[in-house]
Amino acid sequence: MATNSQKSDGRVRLASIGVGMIGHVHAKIAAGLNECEYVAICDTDPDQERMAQGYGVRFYTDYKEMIKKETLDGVIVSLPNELHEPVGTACAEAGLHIFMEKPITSTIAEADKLINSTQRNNVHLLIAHHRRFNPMVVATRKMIRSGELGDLVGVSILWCMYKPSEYFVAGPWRRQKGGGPILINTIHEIDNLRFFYGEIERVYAEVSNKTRRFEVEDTVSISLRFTDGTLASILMSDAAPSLWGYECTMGENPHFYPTKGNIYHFLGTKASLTFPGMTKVYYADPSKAGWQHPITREQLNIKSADPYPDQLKHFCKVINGEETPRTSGEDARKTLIATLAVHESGMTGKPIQIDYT
Amino acid sequence: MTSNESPVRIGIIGAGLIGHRHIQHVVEEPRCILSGVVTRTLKAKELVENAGATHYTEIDTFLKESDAEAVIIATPNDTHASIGIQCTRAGLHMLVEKPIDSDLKAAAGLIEAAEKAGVKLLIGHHRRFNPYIEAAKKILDEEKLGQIAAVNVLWTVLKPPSYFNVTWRREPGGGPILINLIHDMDNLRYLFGDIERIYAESSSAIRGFVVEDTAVITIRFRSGVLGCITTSDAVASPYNFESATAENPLIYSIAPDCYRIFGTKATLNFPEMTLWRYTGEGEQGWGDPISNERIGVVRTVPLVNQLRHFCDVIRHNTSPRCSGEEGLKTLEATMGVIESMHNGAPVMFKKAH
Ligand SMILES: NC(=O)c1ccc[n+]([C@@H]2O[C@H](COP(=O)([O-])OP(=O)(O)OC[C@H]3O[C@@H](n4cnc5c(N)ncnc54)[C@H](O)[C@@H]3O)[C@@H](O)[C@H]2O)c1
Repeated sequence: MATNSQKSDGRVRLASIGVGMIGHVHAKIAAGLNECEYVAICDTDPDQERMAQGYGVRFYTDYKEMIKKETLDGVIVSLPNELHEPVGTACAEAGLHIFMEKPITSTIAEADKLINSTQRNNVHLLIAHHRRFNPMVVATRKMIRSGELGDLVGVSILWCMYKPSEYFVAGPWRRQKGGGPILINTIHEIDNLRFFYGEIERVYAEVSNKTRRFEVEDTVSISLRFTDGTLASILMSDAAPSLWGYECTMGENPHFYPTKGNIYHFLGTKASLTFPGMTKVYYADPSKAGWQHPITREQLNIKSADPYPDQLKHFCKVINGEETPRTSGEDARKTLIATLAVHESGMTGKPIQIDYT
Repeated sequence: MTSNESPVRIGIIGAGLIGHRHIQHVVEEPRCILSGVVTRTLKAKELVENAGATHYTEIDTFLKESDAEAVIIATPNDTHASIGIQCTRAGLHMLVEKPIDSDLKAAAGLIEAAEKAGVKLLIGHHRRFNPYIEAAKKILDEEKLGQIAAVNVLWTVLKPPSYFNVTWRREPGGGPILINLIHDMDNLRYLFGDIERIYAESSSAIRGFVVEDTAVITIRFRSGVLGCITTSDAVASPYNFESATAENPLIYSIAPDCYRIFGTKATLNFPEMTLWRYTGEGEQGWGDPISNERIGVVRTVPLVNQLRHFCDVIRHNTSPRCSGEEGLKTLEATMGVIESMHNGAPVMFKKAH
């Protein structure tokens, strides 16, 4: 590992690069976290200096200058996707541990470059697939993997929400190639599926832009096969007012109106589970299992909670060598590969066999 | 019905599980009378005799001797077309149980024969007469959802081991796609129109039979609507049409949902029949409150509605809600699912025949 500058109290020294929509969320948490000493913010937008002042940290507009001048253990990088690789690589070369917003990078080649450079420089790379820190997601993963539902046979996923037009005005890139709900939103569902259960082997997607008529898709229907034959389907639309979307139904982010809707159905040979309703359904008497028999509903008491603070605490522990990254670069690279395969299938009309090598 | 309308004289061919239900409904329905039943073993002997109808064991005798003007054909799937064609020669109108046949060519032959003979042909996809489907169709036709973007379907159940004691249910031709999902396929076609392309992934890993126990399906409708189906008959789950609508008294119901239809203006949760939409002023979106409206549905019996419609088709020239052509397309689409899961490639459908 890189030589640590951490103090004897174990607090790691952190700085942010990029404090836009999501970067601000991390900055706010870092500024109040015991596990770290938050020292600086960098953003090309000079207006963000006020944020730095508010948290009592130094401000830079050039990240290279910041990493040269400051004594840091790690950086929180929340930049537009195409900057993930160059900035990440520069930080790795400076011996800094990296907490990188998702997706790891925009392309696989960039991901390889970044991962290589972190390995060469012996620094940790943690990718911000933050849902993996929601206790409800963690508990569900445990249930599935422990066999509590029997063999997992299928998963049905819904992500249907209505993005207001201001979303596309604020970020015109979101209506152009590289934007669109597959690369922005489906990637979270793919990462969840991989985290919940396992590796994806093949995907097929139909895409449509008939509703918003943008260059990018607005609606996507996906069939997906895991390596062990378990099947999943994902239905996405960013043009449909509905209850069934992770952000609205999980209440992780106050920006989204909270709704109650089951976005996932996990279907197992012994039981099924709705998420986030957390209703487990099963035949209580195994000798009377089948469609003609009464089925038991059990309400589980598992709650959702804000995953962001735990994610950042985890980064601090990773830097201190107490934990290994929950989402490593390799892991996030696989999520990116599967997500790009969905996109490719949608463009070509062909099922895509996924190759992680 | 108009008061001077004479009741339709109906014969029933094949009195198995569903045939017996048809006998019951025809006897009870004032707009028709049961004139004959063709079947080897008749369980409802008394009912048929009391109705003044004749029991035949041979179709030929029935066709020669009966005064029926219409028939309901409820025999095994692979006999539908051939029996139907026989009936067209006798000039009988037909309600053919779903699927139209098990063979696409035979089905096309039946459609042609019915046209030539000038007799009416209605295919018994009775869910088109299910009050929830009728209500959903009305909501869509009134454009309450705006432009439709997507639809999600769950048909997931646990069939008990005893169900598979019958050999054909474990072999090609059996399986939940052709036996069960065909109903949902017809619902989808009824609500969203013709299908352009289908892709399916399947698995038989749980039971290890030749037929699938699980599948996920991606559908592109010609209108551009996208569909997504998850189906399995090997999971402990109540998420399916029968359970959700309590349509089938044999399947235990706890009334959860099975379809979700997403539109630009609203989403319909089916068959809970809640419409979710923004009611606030100005530009709305994922940060705004979303509110719901419950659409009331009066429960009626689909088979009875279908029978009355059959009478309308015959007496009032009403066009069949599920024509032979429609029944054929539903069969084609369902077989397309099977083809895709075997070939690992999407299946395209040609424009109207
Ligand atoms: N985990 C999540 O839930 C989640 C949510 C939103 C965004 N993201 C990811 O976070 C990243 C940022 O997204 P966002 O929505 O916050 O974007 P944003 O546009 O709101 O913020 C980006 C910030 O980076 C600054 N910036 C741009 N170039 C810079 C440079 N060279 N040096 C320093 N600062 C620079 C911008 O001024 C801006 O403040 C993206 O990779 C996105 O995919 C993740």
